Amino acid sequence: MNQPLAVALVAGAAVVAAGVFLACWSDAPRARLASLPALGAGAAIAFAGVSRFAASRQDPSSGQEMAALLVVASLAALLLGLAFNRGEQQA
Amino acid sequence: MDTSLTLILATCSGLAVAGALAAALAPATWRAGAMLLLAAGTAGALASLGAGFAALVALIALGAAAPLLAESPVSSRGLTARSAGVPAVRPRRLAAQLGAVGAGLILVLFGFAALRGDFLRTGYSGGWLGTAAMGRLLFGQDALAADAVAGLLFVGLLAQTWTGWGRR
Repeated sequence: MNQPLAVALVAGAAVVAAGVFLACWSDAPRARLASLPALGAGAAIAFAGVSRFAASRQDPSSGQEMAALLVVASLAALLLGLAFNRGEQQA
Repeated sequence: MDTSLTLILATCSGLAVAGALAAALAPATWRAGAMLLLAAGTAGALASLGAGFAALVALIALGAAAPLLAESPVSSRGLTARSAGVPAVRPRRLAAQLGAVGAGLILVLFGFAALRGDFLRTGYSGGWLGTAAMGRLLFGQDALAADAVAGLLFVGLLAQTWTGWGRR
């Protein structure tokens, strides 16, 4: 594995690990839901890094596409989680 | 990838990690700022990897998560527990109505521009963000994935509307 790819993967893994810590540390539901954007952001960094330094350059934009879709999907999951949380509090 | 870009990637990733850790460890009122730090760090890391379009999307999507996760100083239970003489909900209802009128006006404006507007016929390479290639991927080759994410976002916004406005 070349060094730039390793740097990108380590950076993405660090953000994912911070998201997992965020999900496990706090007891507040909102703080736990804040881990969803962090998890998506870490995965997006890893996807963009793999797409940038992949050995086969047949489709170099697909990693960037996946990164964009992942962060939007994490925002959508956050919206759903907040809605469920609010519904439970109101019930 | 040269050394400067590696340093930028490491610095931006460190900012993102610091934002995520601050969201967990800092007081709840700092959570929105921590999420903004996470958004800025992620966007910088993606931009340093040459993913300008994804960086822009990350800045918008993760930045939008900050006000969603911000701790409100007055809860909705506190608003309902007020005395009957205090008009606490009225300004928010007025703002929602004004927003609905504005959304309708924007729809009319977009419809007019689409039907009656004239567009310049020329080539567009997509600029330095690579939006042409991303558009071909998102709306051509992988349109089903983009539709799935858009559907998930729609369901999330629908759930927010249902739980937030239905019982106000």
